[in-house]
Amino acid sequence: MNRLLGVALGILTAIGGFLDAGDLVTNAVVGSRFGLSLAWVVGLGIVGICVFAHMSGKVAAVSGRATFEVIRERLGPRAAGLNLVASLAVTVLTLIAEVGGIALALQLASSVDHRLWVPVAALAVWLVLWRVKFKVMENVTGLLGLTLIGFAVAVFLLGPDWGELAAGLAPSVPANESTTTYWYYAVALFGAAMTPYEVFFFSSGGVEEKWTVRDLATSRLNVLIGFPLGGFLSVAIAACAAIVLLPRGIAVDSMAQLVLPVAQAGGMLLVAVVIVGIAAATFGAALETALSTGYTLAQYLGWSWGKFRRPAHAARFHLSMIVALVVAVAVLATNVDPVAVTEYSVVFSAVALPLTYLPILVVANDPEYMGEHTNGRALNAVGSVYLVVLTVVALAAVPLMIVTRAGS
Amino acid sequence: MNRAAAPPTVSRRNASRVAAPTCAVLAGMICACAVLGGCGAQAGRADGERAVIAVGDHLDEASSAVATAQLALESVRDGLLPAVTADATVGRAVESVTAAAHDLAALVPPAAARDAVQGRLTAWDAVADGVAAVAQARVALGADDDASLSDAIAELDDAGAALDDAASRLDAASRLRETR
Amino acid sequence: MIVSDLLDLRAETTDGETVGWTVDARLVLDGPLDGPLARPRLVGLVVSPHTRTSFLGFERAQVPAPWLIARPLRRLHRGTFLVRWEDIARLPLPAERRDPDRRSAVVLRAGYGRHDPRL
Repeated sequence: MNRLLGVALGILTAIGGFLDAGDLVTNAVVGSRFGLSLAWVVGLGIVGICVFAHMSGKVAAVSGRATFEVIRERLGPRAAGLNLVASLAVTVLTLIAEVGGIALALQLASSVDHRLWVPVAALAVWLVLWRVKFKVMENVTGLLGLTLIGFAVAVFLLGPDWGELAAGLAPSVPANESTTTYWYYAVALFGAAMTPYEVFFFSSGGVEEKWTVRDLATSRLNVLIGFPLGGFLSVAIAACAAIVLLPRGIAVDSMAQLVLPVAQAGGMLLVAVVIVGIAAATFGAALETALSTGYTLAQYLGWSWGKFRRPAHAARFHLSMIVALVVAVAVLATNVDPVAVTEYSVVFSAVALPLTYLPILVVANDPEYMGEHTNGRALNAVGSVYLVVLTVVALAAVPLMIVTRAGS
Repeated sequence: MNRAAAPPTVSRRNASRVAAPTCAVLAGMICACAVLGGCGAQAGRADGERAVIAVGDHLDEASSAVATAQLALESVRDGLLPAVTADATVGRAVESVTAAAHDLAALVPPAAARDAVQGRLTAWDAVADGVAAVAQARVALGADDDASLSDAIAELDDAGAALDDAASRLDAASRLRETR
Repeated sequence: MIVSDLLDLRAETTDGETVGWTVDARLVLDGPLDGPLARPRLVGLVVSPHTRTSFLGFERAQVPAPWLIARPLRRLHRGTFLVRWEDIARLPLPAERRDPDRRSAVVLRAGYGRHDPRL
């Protein structure tokens, strides 16, 4: 019974934890401009993140090693150093986006300018990182983030023509958009679904929670049920935008526009629920990205790390998270638009994807680490196909960004 | 591997190995900041055809912002959206519509491209009306009475129609040029 | 000396013929206890004849999967062998290593043995 409860809790937090500022913004932007014609990319990304999160969780549970320790061991200091720079830059960029996202969500609830909320949000994130237990932190933000189900509820309340909506799922480029822009947003959505920090966090979290081989089944369930449901919510966000905003010619360029369809569907109450969800999801993701900067740096440089250690015993780990948060506040203080940062963060995530996922695939096959738990043929086949896809996406991302002038 | 017995050069080399990735991280962050800095407005001279396309894009941006403000105000009028949330939404719409106006003003079509020059002028009037309507919307939200809300919504509706009109005229003009 | 002084070096015979590049060092833990682990001892260097790029650990065991990665890597590193520490005649001095032309090399003793690189 207790175990069942644990599994349910894990799945629920995985749903809430899947969505972050990148998913929220990118899905709303895409829904308002392309309808559901890019929903297939979310599906593709979900399968990918399931495959690789499952692998990294398995490596963590069996070998007790987190992803970046593995990357450092396998690629050697130089190649892993390059990988570190890329991953860290992307993760810090994502952290900036998340902190900005919290501030924007708080602005929606208070109408106090988001720039004023930024230091408050960062301080709150730091306090939680410093004081709150890993498990509590994960479960609270995950469960609160679950209120984003409000977007799915909104889709039903809006009562769209379901046949039309389903027909819109077919991949096609709308008349007023160019093919390159379509593919640019395909890359962005893919990057948002598969952001590398999720894997660093997932595997390091496995070490934090002292997973063993016995937890493999639970971890697999969390991933295989939680992430697809998170992806379902992503599509619901896009559907809301497609139903309400697209016909009015509104192209989403702010977090605030996300609540407009929800207001049309469910009024004040549903708006309040969804704002709580946005704040919780971005807050949870800010915690995860801040931790991921600490995890990657500490794991590369061999520092002691982990929230299960007292801060004094993992001082450099905690210090690097503080530095990352200070960088985030400093960048947001330059009056840069957090939504623009978010859009860039998902595209650069796409660039860094193969760097993160290649070593995981290699190590998950190594009997030295994995004993009898090495990948099966099917998992390897899917993993290899994805590696090709990831490489193509990574190579295409920056040229597409330049050609489309970042999708404008 | 025994650190105590190692010659001093070892620790110095280790220090430089730690320093190298740190420098690399800093370099990465500087690059990221440079990218962020590049998010600013694109302005400058353009050939005639590109200028027409750019004018059309800025019209779309402006009408998206106006439609956002209108939807937000309608939601407040119907009791669906809290005024604070609407205010944040319209506040962002002000930024978007002024950005569109800024980019439109910064655009320099070549003098020979008549349709681009004329299109920009027409567009400017519509976008300027849009800026005024969106700015006025926040006043109405502050006043919080139905009459000023309805007035503001009507004003936004007009501004939206003017923007659509400017866009279709721009379309027609450029289509005419293509057939010529 | 740290381990990267031994890596990414050209390996040549006493006649000056290049046989490959050092891509890894092989250690065993069979020394006296030093803390919880036995002190490691250097057994030899792994030399790859065709490339100086990383082998991602595929030389350690006969892992065939994932095929997409294992196959090209194996091909790139075909003929990789382990040279025992006793078979190494000379290592480059630190000053030689800094030589920009990278002419410095690990010189293998005449009649050195090529051993299986697998663990």
